[in-house]
Amino acid sequence: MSLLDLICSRNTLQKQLGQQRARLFRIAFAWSHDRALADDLVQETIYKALKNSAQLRDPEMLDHWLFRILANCWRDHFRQQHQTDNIDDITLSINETPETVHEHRAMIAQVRSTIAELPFTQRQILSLVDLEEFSYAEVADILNIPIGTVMSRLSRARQQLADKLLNAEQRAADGMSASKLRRVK
Amino acid sequence: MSSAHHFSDEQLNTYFDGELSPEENAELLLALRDDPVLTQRLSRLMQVRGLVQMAYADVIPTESLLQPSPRRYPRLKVAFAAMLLLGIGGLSGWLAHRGTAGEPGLLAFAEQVQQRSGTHARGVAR
Repeated sequence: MSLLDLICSRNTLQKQLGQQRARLFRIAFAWSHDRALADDLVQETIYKALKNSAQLRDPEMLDHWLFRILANCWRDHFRQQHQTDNIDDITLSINETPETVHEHRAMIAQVRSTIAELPFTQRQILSLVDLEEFSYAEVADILNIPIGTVMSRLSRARQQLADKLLNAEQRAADGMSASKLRRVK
Repeated sequence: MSSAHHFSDEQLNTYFDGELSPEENAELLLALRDDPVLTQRLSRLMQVRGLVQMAYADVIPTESLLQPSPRRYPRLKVAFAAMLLLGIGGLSGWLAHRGTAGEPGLLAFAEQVQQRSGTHARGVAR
């Protein structure tokens, strides 16, 4: 490869990385619920991607190569911060309260708060599948876990969210219709 | 008995994510046609996905992340700092050398003055 080709391919990679920042940030935020930490994780991911760009043999694999770096950055960060804790025990703080924000914001806060209660390993898979639409095989590769684990954790995560979010909605709807009935009486 | 019980949550998720084999896919599609319980379970998965996507739809990077990364050229910065330090070191070395190089000149001048004053003193004595 000539020097010119090398420079061109590096410039192309830089452009592509720039385009992926928003996606990486969204996933990093879904994992951490912390904008500053998500910023740091994405910066670190981009830096490592540029540094190790020679490792990317197939440009088609850029997407999940980047998310694999992000997952490794998160793991490194977690090891530094919580060496003795279980990764699934990380609880995320949600500052927003439904009373203080608009209805839409309240719903977002409620969903985020319920997602934050999921074990981290489930939250990680849920975000990669539902937000980034990665296939099970890709998620297994990004997180370096068996595909069966991806399936079971995803299923448990969705079940838990459905129980907490949809059943709560149903209970609220039932409560509203019951109060209407009482008023009619 | 409802066919919903024949399909596990994992299978339903796999169908929902388009990951079932064509045969299993066809089987589940047929079951969905006559089974409201199965349809309801699938509808819950759809709602959950919708809520998850809604919860993070407005998450956009901060301005700082859209700017060029400050860590993009860390080696250049280190090299620049090293060159600056070398420059300062070289300049101070040169100045110090210039200061000490001046000393012999001063000494020679002092000696000349001393010699002249000596000859002058001798002349006066005569």
